[in-house]
Amino acid sequence: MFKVFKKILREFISFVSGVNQAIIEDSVSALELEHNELEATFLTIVLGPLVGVTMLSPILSLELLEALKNEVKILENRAVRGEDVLGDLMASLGGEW
Amino acid sequence: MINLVDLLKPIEGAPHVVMVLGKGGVGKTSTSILISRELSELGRTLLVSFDPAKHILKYLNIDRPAEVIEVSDGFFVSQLDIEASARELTSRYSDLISDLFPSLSVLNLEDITKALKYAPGVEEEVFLNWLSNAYENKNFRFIVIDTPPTGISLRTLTLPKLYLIWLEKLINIRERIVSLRYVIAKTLGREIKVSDPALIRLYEMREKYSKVKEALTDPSRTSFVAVTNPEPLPMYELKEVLKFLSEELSASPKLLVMNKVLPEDIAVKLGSYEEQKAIIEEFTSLSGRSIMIPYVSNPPSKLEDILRLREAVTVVKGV
Repeated sequence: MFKVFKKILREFISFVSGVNQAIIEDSVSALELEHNELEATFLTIVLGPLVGVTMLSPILSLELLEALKNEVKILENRAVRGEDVLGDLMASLGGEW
Repeated sequence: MINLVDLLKPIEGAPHVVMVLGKGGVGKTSTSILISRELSELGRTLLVSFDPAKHILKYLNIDRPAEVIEVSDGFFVSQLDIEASARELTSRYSDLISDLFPSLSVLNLEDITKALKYAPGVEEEVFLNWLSNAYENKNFRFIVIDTPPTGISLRTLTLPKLYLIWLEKLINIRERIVSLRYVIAKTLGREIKVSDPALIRLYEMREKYSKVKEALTDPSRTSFVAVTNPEPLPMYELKEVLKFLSEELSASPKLLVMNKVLPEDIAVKLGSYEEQKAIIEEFTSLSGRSIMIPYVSNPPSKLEDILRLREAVTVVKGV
């Protein structure tokens, strides 16, 4: 009787922690989505003036460029691999590619 | 002889910046020299001219533009070339872009960087950068600026306010990005560096432009002097400058200068008496301290000529 109860309890704990993990993963995905969208917005605003889409003074953009070195490199890599279908698929599964 | 310094008070800030504004050819450089010379009796004074005609080099017999030269005891002068400084700035940015986007040269698009010098706001940015450094300059007690053409000057004076609006928006987005990165990393149990170079740079820029904006609107740190002539266009431009200062900076010039006022008999002979009279009446009706400088038949060509003008200055409205 005690063993059955222990097993049920273990199962219940696993279930709760599974639900908890799922909630965390869902929340993280939502946060990641917002993060990626905001990052894209930020880079568009900052880099836009350099390609003729003026949303900001070009001087402010240029002043910020140095600090965005790494992000610009990532952006360039993504642009280069833009036609990589497999890369897209891997990206949709999560993680950096 | 009048005391111009009394008309500019309060002048406590160190350094105190005096900006001489007005249409090209009205006598901004002469007025700047008169004011600087008088201020230099109170403390080290730097007169910087952004005048594209570079009159100051001739007046003060200087042949080394861009250098700070001591003309007399405590009176220093420098002629800056705003276009050359703009070229220098854009070449720095071009190098940065070539470094950040090496693919541009692969795609043979590096000419894009050459177009940077035509980007809007470069000359204004040069002036603003210089102004921002001027307020931090502890080597001088006073800095007098013989300003570039009115368009550039006024646009420059609006930039801190405009930049701060943009920077606030960018900071909001960036702070959210950084906080999201932190939360995601913490939730997933990853290590994360909290500091973000872009956010730090944004804070630095906000501080820089806030300081300039604050200094520009503080009468003890900045004095505006507006110069005009008894002619319709310079007078029109003076009114535009006054309107701009009041609307954009909530400031008013400490001193209005009516330069090149013709003696009555000559004005009658030239048939401009009525026009001059009407303009002077309008000038005297403007609020604030004002002075008049008469027209001299031989335009001033050296420092002594300009300093002699001081003896002929009359106060229209004093302290």
